Amino acid sequence: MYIAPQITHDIKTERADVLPPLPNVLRIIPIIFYAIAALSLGLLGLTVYQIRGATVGLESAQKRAQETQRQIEETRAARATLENRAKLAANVLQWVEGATALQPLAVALGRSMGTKAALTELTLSRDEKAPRQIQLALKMQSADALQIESTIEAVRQSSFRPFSAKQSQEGNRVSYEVSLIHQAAPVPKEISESAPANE
Amino acid sequence: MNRKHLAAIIVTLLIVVFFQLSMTIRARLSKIEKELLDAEMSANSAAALLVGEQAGLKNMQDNSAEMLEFLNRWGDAMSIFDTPDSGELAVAARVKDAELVTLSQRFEVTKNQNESIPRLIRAHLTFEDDYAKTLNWIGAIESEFPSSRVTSLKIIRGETGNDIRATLVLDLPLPLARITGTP
Repeated sequence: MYIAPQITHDIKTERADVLPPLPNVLRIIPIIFYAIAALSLGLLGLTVYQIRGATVGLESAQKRAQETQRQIEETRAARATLENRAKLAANVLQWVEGATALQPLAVALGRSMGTKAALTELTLSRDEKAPRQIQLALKMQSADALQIESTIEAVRQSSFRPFSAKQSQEGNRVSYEVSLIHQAAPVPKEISESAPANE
Repeated sequence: MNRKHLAAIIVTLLIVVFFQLSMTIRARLSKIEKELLDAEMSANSAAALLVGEQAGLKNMQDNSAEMLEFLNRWGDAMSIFDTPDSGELAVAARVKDAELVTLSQRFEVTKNQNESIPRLIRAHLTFEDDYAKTLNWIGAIESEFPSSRVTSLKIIRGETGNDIRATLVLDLPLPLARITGTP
């Protein structure tokens, strides 16, 4: 195998050969050196290419993480808004539940009076802490023993449930006190009937 | 030292520099790959978290849909009055329009325990007028201002004929902010 002497230099000083030259096969060493050098450069280039690829991937992953984080923040903000709305709705519901119309009940109580009874005083008051609960107190003059039954029936028909009733009677004068709680779902009030003038 | 020795030293130096450069670049690649791995893990865990958050939001939307629908229906009714004066004027105008015989009429602003409705316009009204006229007026107020609350109503016989004396306390809500149907 011929290898040009310019490529595979002999490093020894120029002197007369005292020993026979190295075997020709050892000239492969510089060739291996060049091959390794070329391979190293190639690997270096490959590494730089990998760095570029990894950098692009890193930027992409970071961008994706940031975008996801932004969506998480948006979702949390939406959730907080929704919680506030739900809390507001609960507060409004609480108010509305304690704002049932009393006029239809007052009218119904007036109408429940029979011919032998006369309502002298009617008081409807809400409990300050539990406005759904209404205290009904009425005084009437009645010769009819069943009048209270009619009055309670009128209360029930007005979607109120009576409980804790107290009744006292002195002659024809009847006092009746009862707690009421509205049973229907809270809906906007609609009063279809006006109170008749003859009651 | 001849040219060949010099060349050998330069080649050795180049090898050392090349080796150092390779090591530096490899170290940089390792660092970036580690950062990439961390970023991927971070992005994946964030994506999983997002799925959980979105599921929670969806669940909450489903659960609160009925309440929000309720709020949509009641928002306008709850926001009729934004100042104490507006409520006072509205009630006083309706009393005047109905020509009710008014024995007393007083308005005050009171505190309320409800967080969203921290204040109320409280009207103390006493009328002595015809039974039907008075009760119709109360019914009309409750109908026109559905968020109003008659806290107390006392009815006794009036001085004459079909008259009654009605003493009522009427609360009108003053919400913290205007309640609207949509966020």
